[in-house]
Amino acid sequence: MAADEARTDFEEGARLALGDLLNRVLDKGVVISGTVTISVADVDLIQLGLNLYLTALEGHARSRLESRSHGGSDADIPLLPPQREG
Amino acid sequence: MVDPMPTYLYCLLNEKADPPHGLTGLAEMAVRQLVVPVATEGVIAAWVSDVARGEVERGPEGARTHDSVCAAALATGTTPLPARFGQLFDSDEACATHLAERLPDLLPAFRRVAGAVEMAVTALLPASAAAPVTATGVATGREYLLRLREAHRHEAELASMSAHLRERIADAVGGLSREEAVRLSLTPRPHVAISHLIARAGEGAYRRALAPLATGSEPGAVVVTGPTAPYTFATLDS
Repeated sequence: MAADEARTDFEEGARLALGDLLNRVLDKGVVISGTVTISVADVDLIQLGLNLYLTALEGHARSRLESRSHGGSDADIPLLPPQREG
Repeated sequence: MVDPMPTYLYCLLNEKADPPHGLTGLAEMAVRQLVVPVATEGVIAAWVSDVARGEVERGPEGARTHDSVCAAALATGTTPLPARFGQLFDSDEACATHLAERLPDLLPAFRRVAGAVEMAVTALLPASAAAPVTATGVATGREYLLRLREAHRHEAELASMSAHLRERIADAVGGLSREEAVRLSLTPRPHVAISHLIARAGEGAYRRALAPLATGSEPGAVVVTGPTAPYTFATLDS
């Protein structure tokens, strides 16, 4: 039970981490000029699609977890969550 | 006369660096180097591609493609200044003109991220503290105000947990971090994301420093991601 909970937390954490990276791409980085053609309204559209995209990433996060448990590389692999008692 | 295709900007480097052969960006267009001479500082190399107006993939897949180009630039060994997603110029010349105008701001930005990468830690906040509290569907004004007060209390609790976690992570990372930035999100699941600007060679030490947090008493998952181009720390002063 605790292991299942930890795995669920891990997958959700991995999903949110990937979402955070995409949000940084959309919201951070240097802005050179006012000629940005994707307006605020368009960014809203991007974020609307983000939730759908994150859902699709669940399978990706799961496969990474399995890769780690089978001795995959530690590079860019999220750390495991704490094990909980009970 | 046919108008040139617009130029899409991915990132900037402060030295010449050819994109890997076959690297494509938005709309599967080839990524190329646009060199802008700088009188006293050598060159600025912009990684760009042609892209027809209306063909910029505005969904998350576009952001992912943008990041893949910045990641390829990071892999050259020189840290790029990643551009914010969505910057389109009328032509290469227009892009170069804007870059030349921003030169006084770009040079300190290059110095800030030189030799560094961005790492990030994302931590879930406890689900017990994340119970949804809404002020909708209530019968009386008193009930509404009580729910509102509970929502504020809940947010303050999450902010306090986030601050505590940030302190623990800062202690663990110690001198590895040149700079940090904290993002607290309440939706869709409360979590805190902390970015660090660290030296390229410090990735292994950074991961080892944070490993104990994943096996201690912290609630929820602690996830480390990176290295990525330093989006969070790529800002211009004006």
